[in-house]
Amino acid sequence: MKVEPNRVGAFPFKKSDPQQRKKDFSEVQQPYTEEQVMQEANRCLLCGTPVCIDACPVLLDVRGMNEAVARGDFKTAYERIRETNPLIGVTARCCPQLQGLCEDACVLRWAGQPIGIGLIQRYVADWERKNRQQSPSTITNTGKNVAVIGAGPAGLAAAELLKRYGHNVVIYEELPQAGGTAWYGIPDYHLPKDVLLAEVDKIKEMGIEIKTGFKVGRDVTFSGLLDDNDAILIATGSKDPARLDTPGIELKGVYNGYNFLENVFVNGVQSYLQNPTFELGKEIIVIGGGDSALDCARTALRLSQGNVTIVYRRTENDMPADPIMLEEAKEEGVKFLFLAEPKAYEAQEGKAKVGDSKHVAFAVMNSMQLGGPDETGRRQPEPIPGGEFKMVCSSVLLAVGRSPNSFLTKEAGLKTGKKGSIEITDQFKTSIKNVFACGDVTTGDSLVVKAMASGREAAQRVHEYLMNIEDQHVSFYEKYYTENLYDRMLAGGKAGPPPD
Amino acid sequence: MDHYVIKKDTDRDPLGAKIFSNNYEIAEIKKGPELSFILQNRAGDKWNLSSKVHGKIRPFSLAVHDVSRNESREVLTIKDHLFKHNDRFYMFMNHPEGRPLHEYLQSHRYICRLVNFPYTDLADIEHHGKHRLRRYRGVPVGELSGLGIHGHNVKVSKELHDIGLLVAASSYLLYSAA
Repeated sequence: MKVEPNRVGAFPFKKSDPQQRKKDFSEVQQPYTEEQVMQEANRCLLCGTPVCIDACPVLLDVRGMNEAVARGDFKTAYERIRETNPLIGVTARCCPQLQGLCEDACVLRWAGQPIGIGLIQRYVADWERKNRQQSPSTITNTGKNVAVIGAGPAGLAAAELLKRYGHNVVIYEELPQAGGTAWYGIPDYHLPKDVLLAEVDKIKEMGIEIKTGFKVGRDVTFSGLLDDNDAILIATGSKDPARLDTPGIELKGVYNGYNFLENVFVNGVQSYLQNPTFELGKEIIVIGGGDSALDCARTALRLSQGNVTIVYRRTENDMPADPIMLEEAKEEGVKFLFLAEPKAYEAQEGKAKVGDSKHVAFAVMNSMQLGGPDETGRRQPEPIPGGEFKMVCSSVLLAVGRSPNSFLTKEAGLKTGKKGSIEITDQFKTSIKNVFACGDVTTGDSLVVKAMASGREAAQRVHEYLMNIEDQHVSFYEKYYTENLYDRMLAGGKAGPPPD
Repeated sequence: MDHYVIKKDTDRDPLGAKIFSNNYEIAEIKKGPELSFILQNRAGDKWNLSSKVHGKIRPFSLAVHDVSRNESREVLTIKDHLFKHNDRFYMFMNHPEGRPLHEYLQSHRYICRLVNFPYTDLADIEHHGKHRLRRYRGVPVGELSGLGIHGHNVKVSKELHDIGLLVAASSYLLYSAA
């Protein structure tokens, strides 16, 4: 089969010019044209066993989408994927499709290049924003009330499904805007906020009330909320930064990277630009090797137009960051220093004391080497004796991981598991009756789409609990898998000659 | 390494496949009962492969039962790409330690033995840790390539020799059947 992918080398999409885009927050990924998207969708084999759907945490009907888009029927494509995904524009842009998700699983990977599923999905989402379609219908009101705490991806997906089941749903969100990490943690160049706002609006149009700027535990008691509702679903995400005790960490200019991103994006980046609150200077160091570290670096670069260096304690091969985002960061001029880890931060006059309000001027680094494997199989970094060196810096952004949001956990007295996550059963139940939890607050930092999947699964369980049908539970995957499996397999597939 | 080629049997049975080694046909896959598949080799040994693992139908999971005699014995369990064999854990589609992630996008796929894996049993991998499983990096012990309709290639090293056929058939069904 002759494969002619509509891709750009191994990385799947056209990007805006790096020298231009590093000056602002305009979107990096460039969309397909109508002709390109139909051509790309037409490459799909329409597999009888679509592993792309198996690989999608929300079981997005990739096969159905591609079949419709290849014909130019974007309305049907939208209806098919909207069935399981209320944030299709967000996930099209935020999912690392090539890392363990749909494009990674696409069988065409074996024969050439996987289908550009993310870009096709993005086209359908963008089409819908121009040609507004109706939201899925809801069934008759059950009379049950559910409070969802947290309007991030997990909370939004859960609320949407609970509403479709017929329950009354109110979401409580402490920040001024719904979206959670998708709003304040993912920069606009990756996810333009009008995309998220449009999808949140569609969820509201279904009759779901979202109370923003409303913190449970401060503006209303948890017990009060429990009294007023038949069930509570906690979806407060991952917000607690990793605790570090590096000497000098209290110095001015040493910032929590996640707090930095939240402050820049929470009221819109244009608002921040008019009133910036972080003194970055021109020599910025970012500590970390994941996607958030890259986001901190690229955001700091755009705000400062200075020199930004990411420092990671292992090698580039070990970085967990998305390779596409890594390539983008390099194109924009972000520098990298590997096998180094901060030992201390110092102000201009020398070592800082505890409580010193001087500004950071140097980061004292340990040179690292890789030792034996840790529990993930990656080699553990160890400092090289006598390998210290100093780096000049005007600010430091720390992005080394977050833990589940512990505020409500402590407030409500919920039983916790690993790293302060809310402990849940297979039915998403917590230690308190009528209280459920889902998303990153139960697992730690994850992907937007995985948080959504958790939200949907929890919503199903909440519904079954409220309607007293828990013994009839069938998972979404099992339902999808068992419906016409063999028929679908027999109907699927369009083969051609072997690749050259 | 043992080398298997699994090819979809489009002429005779659209749900079936034939398995070759050294250009000889050594086994076939065909439709089984209740949404499962049957693997049978030339010696008449039979295995049932089902997506129901630990009581649930799951993606990228297979329970392989030896059904050659009257009783059914589970001989291989693959759950979320992972399996355990001779007290060691392995992962399909794992990227070897020390290799850059962008290489993963273009290279063969690997079966890797996981080092220092923190679980003792597949059933222990609970909700909390499951989403991080793809972070693990291992030592390559098998290679996968090719689309099933043209020939899916599975190579396994000596340490998987005794379950090589089962691993090959599973790889085809999970990743390459199209």
